Amino acid sequence: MSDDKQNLIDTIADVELPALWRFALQVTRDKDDAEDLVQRTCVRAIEQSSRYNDTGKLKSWLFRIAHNIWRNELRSRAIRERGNLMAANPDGLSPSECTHDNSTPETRLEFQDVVNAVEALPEGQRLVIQLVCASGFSYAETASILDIAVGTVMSRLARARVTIGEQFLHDEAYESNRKLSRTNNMMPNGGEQFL
Amino acid sequence: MKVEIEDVRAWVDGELDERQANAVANAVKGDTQLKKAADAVRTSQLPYREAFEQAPVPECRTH
Repeated sequence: MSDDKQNLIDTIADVELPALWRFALQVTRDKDDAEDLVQRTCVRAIEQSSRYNDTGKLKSWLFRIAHNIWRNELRSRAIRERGNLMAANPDGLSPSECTHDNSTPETRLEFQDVVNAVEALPEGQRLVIQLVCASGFSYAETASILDIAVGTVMSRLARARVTIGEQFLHDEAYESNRKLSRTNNMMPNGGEQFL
Repeated sequence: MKVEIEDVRAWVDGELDERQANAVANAVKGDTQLKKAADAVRTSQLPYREAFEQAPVPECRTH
């Protein structure tokens, strides 16, 4: 094996694998599919290592490969399942399963709210938010990874941000109404004197 | 210049030059829908990176 290829494998294994794993989970939303995708992406990357341009970001190259593999996989499934693209998700990607963290419960809850809001987006918007806002890719890199136009990235990003913002605004309004209602209910006459 | 939500998002995130920013600011002032979009985009300025970094993920057997 050439030194270049060995270096690439080492870098993927040491540096990029956790990020690739998270991206695979985001794309597939299924743990088994994500593991399969990570493996296939690594194999493809090693096979195509001569095509990797050292000046480019390894992570965006890997993500592009992963996204391509997954897109082809979905196409194959669609053919096999006569157009039914939505594979069942029996295990459910349950992000609450495990791992360490040292954040406070309040922070964890807020972070989980953010993750939940992104998870609820349509796939195209979800991946753009994941790549641009969570992973820090530029609009051009995101367009390249997802094989879409930069304008589409901008459009999905804007729609996703509006959707997320509206949800949080709605939640804030709901929370303040709930608090107000609770305060009124604690008063002997339900707070009517203030109405 | 017709202002779209893409422009509003870029304006809120400070990505426009002064001329473009003024155009979007004026449009938002006079358009309820754009103002709502701007409020939503502002509210959506959230710690995405930290949220996803701290979000628990299942172990990967490939690691």
